[in-house]
Amino acid sequence: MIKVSDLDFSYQNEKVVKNINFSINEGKSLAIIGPSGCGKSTLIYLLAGLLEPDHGTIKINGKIINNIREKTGVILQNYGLFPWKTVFANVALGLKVRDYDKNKVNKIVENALEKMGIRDLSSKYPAELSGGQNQRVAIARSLVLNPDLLLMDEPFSALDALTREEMQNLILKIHKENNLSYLIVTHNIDEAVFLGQEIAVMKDGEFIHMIDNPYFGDLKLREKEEFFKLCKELRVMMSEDDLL
Amino acid sequence: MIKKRYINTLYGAIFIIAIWWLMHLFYSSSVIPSPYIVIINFFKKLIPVLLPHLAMSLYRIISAVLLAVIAGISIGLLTGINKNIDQYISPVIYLLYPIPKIAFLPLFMLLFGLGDSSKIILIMVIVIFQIIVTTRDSVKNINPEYFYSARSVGVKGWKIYRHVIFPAILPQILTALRITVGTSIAVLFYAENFATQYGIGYYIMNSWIMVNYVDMFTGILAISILGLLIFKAIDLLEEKYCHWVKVGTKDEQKI
Repeated sequence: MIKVSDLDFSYQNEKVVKNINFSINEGKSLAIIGPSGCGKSTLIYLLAGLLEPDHGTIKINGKIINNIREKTGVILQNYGLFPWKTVFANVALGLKVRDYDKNKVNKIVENALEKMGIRDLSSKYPAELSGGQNQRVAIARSLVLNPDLLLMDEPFSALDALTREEMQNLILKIHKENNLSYLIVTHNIDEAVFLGQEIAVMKDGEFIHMIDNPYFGDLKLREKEEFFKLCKELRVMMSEDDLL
Repeated sequence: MIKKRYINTLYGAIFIIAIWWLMHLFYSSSVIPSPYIVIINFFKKLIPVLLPHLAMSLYRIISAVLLAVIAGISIGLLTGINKNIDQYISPVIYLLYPIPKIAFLPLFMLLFGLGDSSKIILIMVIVIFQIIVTTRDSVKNINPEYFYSARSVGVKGWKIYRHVIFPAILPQILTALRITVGTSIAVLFYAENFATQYGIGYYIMNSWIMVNYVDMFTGILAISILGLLIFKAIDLLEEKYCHWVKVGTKDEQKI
């Protein structure tokens, strides 16, 4: 599904993404973990086609990405919602700019809001919602375009621990229901282990480890011994690399 | 909410009329006529005399403000979005901004004639700088994540203006407008003292020359109401298009 080869990107003279290579098959997931400023957000922007690489290629389903791709959903760090649009208008935006028929837009958006359990918030503004509710709106906004790939840039970092777990469960559920591939950037070890089928450790713009997560996909994983074991393994690995 | 605002306006009006009345009693001179006589005179003259003057003034102010808004936002967007243009235009704007443009009325009258054009252009030139600077700064301050977010759902081209830039800068533009409306009415009053027989500014000064203080005060009352109505119109625009600015600042906001 995604194939990234020899990817480089610099801001001004500073190289923030260096020689990244990886691939994800359809319906799989990758969690990228690393400290702040390691280039993981930039990587998401590159994959989304919001930035152009200096060198290397990103192919999704065999096609080179050099612009926005309709079937790629993106969830940015601060939800990316527009404070001047209601929940409904925020979710409908992607459909509206593609000139979808008004009735169709209403139907799709209402469906998505229903699925996310936020239908009654339809006419509210983002400032009136809690962090978790806004996150649901952001997810609904990406889902209305029926994506086959979801890119998330530290989507849950502003949420409290309980809401964070709730949202992680929701992503896992959506992933299973729709065979959705996704990439999540995080600086949280638990999150990486719970949501990454593969986990990439990133340092100074490079992937320094790639870990397979055989326990991925279990909604009850957090209660199991293996979860703690893998978290510990990851923690030790990161601390050996001076990342913790 | 709206009801409360009416009550506030009413309270303000009563307070001002009370002060006015006290001054009338204190000075006991015809220079400050009683508010009662002025208000009666106002209603008597509103339709036959004041309305044509007010309409003329309103026409001048609205034309000037509209032109200033259209040109000001365009220049502000250009300088806010394009760094190269900003580099060449901003220094010029900074030099022109603090110059008292009102002194140019004689020049404008020579260039654009004695009629409405010179008056409208004078008001426009005064209002436009505030709009340019506000637009430019607001555009520069838009969080870049909004642009990424918009592009990520496929918003591009002029739709970026419609869905991101305009809604993001509108609250600041309305605030700038509110600030400049006061100035523009003052300028209008000044400009209407020259080469015209219509306009509320002319009416006030003409009544003063004729030593008719009741009419003069009636004119002052009329120009004040005109200003108030323009203020309220901006409030309504804000209520309609910038409602989002106010939400979330209330108690109902969740954490």
